[in-house]
Amino acid sequence: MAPKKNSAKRPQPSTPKPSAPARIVKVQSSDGHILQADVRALLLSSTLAATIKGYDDENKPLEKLEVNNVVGFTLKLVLEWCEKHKEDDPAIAQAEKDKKNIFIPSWDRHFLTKLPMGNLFDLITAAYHLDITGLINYGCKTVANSAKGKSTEEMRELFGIPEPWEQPSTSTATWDD
Amino acid sequence: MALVQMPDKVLQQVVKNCELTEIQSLRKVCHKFRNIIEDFKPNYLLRRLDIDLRENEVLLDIYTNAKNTRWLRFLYEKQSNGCLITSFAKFVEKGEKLVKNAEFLNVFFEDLKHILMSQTTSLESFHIGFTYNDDDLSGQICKSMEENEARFLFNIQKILNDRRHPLLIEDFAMTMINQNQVMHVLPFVDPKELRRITFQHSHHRDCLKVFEMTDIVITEQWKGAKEIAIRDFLVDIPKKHFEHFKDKEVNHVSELRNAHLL
Repeated sequence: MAPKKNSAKRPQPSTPKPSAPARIVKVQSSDGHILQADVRALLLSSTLAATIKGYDDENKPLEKLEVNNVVGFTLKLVLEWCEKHKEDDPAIAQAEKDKKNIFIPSWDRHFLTKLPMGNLFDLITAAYHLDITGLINYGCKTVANSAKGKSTEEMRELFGIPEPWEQPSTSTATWDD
Repeated sequence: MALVQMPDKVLQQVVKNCELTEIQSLRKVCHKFRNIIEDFKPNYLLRRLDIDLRENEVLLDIYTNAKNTRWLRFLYEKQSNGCLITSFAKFVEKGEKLVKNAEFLNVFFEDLKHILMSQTTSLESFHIGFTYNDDDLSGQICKSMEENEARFLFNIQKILNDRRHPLLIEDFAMTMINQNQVMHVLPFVDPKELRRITFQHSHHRDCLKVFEMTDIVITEQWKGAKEIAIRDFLVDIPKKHFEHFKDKEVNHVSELRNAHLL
C-alpha cells in the first residue's frame, strides 16, 4: 500500500537515529557543580561546539567541559533547554534572530515564564556567553512580552531597576517623574 | 541578576522585540536603557503623523504598520507644575503622567525627535496644524500662542534639518495662517517622494485672505509635487507656478474677480 512507501520517504526528525547512541559528557559549572549532557544538546552552544570540535580534531578523549562563567543553578536550566532542542535545525534559530515577531512554542513559553525575572536574566546572559541563538531569541522575546502594556514605574518594579534619583550617572529633565 | 546587568547585545534584542509604547516607557526606566535605545534606533514603522498645536497643548497622533500598535495618541498639556501627558490607544484613555517642572513643548519635542530618529521609509502622510482660539483670529493672537508657535516652528525645523537623510513624506499637509509657518517645515522635507501638498487656513470662518506664497513656489518640494490643494485661502500668483500639477484645487483671486464681474 501507498502509506508505507510515503513514510519511508519522509524524514522523521522526532525519533533519534538508533544507530548513533547518545554521547554523554560531563559539564562543570563555575561553582564546581558537575552535570551531564548529551553532546548533541551541547552543540547548540557555538562556544561549546568549538571546544568539542577541538577535542575531536586532536582525537583527545573529552571527559569534562568547564563552563567558567555560568553557575550550577543556571547551567542546569541551560542544559534542560538544550536537551529539549537538540533535534532542532540550527537554521531556524538563525532565521528568527532578525525577525521582529518570533513565535515562542508552548514548551518554551512555559519553561521561560515560570522563572522569576532574576533567574530569567541569568539564563539569557548564560545563553549569550555560550552563544545559544535559539535560547537568546525566546528569552528576549519573553522579557519584551512581559513589558507589554506596562508603565515606566511598573517596568522598574518588574525588572528590579531603582528609581532615577537612586541611580548614578547624569540626569535629564524629563526623568524627574 | 537585574535586567540592566545583562549584556548590551541582549538588551538590544529585548528592545527589538518591543513596539513603540513599550519602548517609550523603557526609555524612561533608566539611563542605561535610554542609551541602548538611542544607539539601537528602533524602527517604529511609522505610517502617518498628525501634530496639532493649540494654545497650551500639543496633540500627537501616530499611526504605524507595527503588528500590535496601529494607533496611538498623546496629549501634552501645560500645567502649572509641569507637563501632563495623556495617552490613548484603541480609542480609550490609557494613562496619565505628569512630568514635573518640565515645559510641555520640550517634553513633546523630546519624544517626537526620538520617534522620528530612525524613520527611514516614507510616511504616507504628515500633517501639522495650528489651532487658534476664536479670540485670536478676530484680532490679536494671544501672547502665549505666539511664543509657543515660534518655539514650535524653531524646534520642528531643527528636528527635520538635523536628520542625516531628510524625512520622506508622500502627502504633506498643513493647517496654518501664513507662509512663514510653511517655510519652517516644507523645505526640510525630502522632495523625492512628495506627491501631494495641502494648505488649509486654520480658521475657515474667517473671511478669505490672500495667501502670500512667493517663497513657497520656488522650493524644490513645490516644484516636484504632483497634486496641490489650497483651501480657504485666495491665491494671487501667476498661474505658471501651478502648471506642473496634475491635480489642482485652488481659488485664484483673478478667477474670483472675474466671477464677480459676471
